[in-house]
Amino acid sequence: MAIIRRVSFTQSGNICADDIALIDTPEKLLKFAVDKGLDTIPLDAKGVAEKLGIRVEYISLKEGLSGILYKDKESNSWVLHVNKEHHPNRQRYTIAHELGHFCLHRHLKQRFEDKIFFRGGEPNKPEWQANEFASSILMPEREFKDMIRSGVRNVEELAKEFQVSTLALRIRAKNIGLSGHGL
Amino acid sequence: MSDIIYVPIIKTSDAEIRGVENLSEDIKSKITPLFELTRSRKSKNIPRGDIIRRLNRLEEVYGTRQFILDLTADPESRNKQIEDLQDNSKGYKNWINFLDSIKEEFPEIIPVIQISDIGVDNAKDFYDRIKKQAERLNKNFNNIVYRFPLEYEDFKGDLTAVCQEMSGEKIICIIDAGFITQEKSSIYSTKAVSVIEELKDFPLGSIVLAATSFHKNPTEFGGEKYGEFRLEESLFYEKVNSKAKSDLIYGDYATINPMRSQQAGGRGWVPRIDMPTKDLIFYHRYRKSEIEASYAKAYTRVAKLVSNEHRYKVVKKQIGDCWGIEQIELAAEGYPQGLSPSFWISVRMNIHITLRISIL
Repeated sequence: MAIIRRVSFTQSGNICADDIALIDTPEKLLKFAVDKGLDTIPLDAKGVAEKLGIRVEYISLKEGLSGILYKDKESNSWVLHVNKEHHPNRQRYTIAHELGHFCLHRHLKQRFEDKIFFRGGEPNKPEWQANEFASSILMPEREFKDMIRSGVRNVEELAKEFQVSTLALRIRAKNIGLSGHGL
Repeated sequence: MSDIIYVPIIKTSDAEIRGVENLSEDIKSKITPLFELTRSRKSKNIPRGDIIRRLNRLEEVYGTRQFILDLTADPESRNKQIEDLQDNSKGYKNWINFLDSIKEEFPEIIPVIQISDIGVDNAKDFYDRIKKQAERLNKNFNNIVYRFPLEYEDFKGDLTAVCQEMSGEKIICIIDAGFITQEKSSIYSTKAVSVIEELKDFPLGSIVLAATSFHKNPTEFGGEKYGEFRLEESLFYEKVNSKAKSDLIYGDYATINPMRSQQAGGRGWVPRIDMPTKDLIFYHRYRKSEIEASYAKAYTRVAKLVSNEHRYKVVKKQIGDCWGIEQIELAAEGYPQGLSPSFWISVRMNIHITLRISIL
């Protein structure tokens, strides 16, 4: 595609429900975040979810569960439960993962319960796709490479910039071909 | 530009280029492909892939014919060379110089105008760079393409800038809806109709509407052994074309998902052959067993299942023996010419493009 835009120079106004339906890639979601004036590095994942009309609630979840995304039948709106006992970085990853389900799979299912992330298994399956989506919005490839070029190469430092765990960072580095950079 | 009837959007991957290479001369002369330049496969010697390899291949396959050239924005398919070509400094000088440098090998090229806001922080600078690029493209080429995603909101600003530097008649506008699904089809078509309405402010040469509905992994949505999917792009085009009361040109991704697939790696694959028809694609798939332990035998079995279907025979009757049909026939007779998923992607594309031309 010939167009690479991160900033809108025009006043686009508020996004409508139909436009939200068109957000089905990490790039489109990040563009949406920029248009809404939200931080992308580190990504304001909760802010993005809320701008998409998802109600985010931090609550106690049964052991092992990281997050639940479901469509509330009464209000006809989407709700995201995040395990309040988890580390903030883990919670951000959970929200990003559920955003992946929201953008990619909500026409297939109306409830997603997620337990363990970073697990192996079949590529291209919905859970794997949601993980890939989460990594791509929390650690966009271009910004990741820019940081490496600008000399930020320490894993902890990079993880701090993106506010993710070092494990998530290493997996992302490997997936975008940066594993040779001391990562 | 009324001679354009079909714009298949094709990445320069091995599979896609092979599908095009094996089209008949007649079909090649009837399509106007948009080649989206991607990096070559990564290897030990070329860890980031090389676009020169892709260009050489393109020259072999399509050199002197007319085609549209674009650069990929898919992060999985880009490398530093492509990022440099999309650099907007000095009016996209890298892209302009690159196009000049390949004009001898590709005399009939139609370039896509590049749009990037990286490193730009105000609207004036952003549009000045686009205008400078448009001015140079106007001098060097008879036509240019402006391609934008359906959800992109700033197309009017870009087009206003471009139209200050060249006659709108020279511009072929491609509205790219990307991956569409049956569930969202009506939303996409409503949006497309309103975009086309807004484009009426510009005296454009022609408008192409492109989309694809081919899943990244069809078996996730279809069955283990058999599946079928509607070709939403065809229905989408017909719907928008009639609603917008506009003479749109048909475009698609030639049955390829817009995002590059990651390699499954190590565990092998289940042989699958996809068969495009007018309105849908069906596939048969067969996991090689202990009795039929080779991929060759498994592909033969799958090809037999495909070629026994009535819908296959209808397509074969309509388009004759194109390369893709020949591959299925050979495989069904026990002589598959390719044993990788990539080869059978080429077959699917080849049949689809040939069939589209017979329909349009």
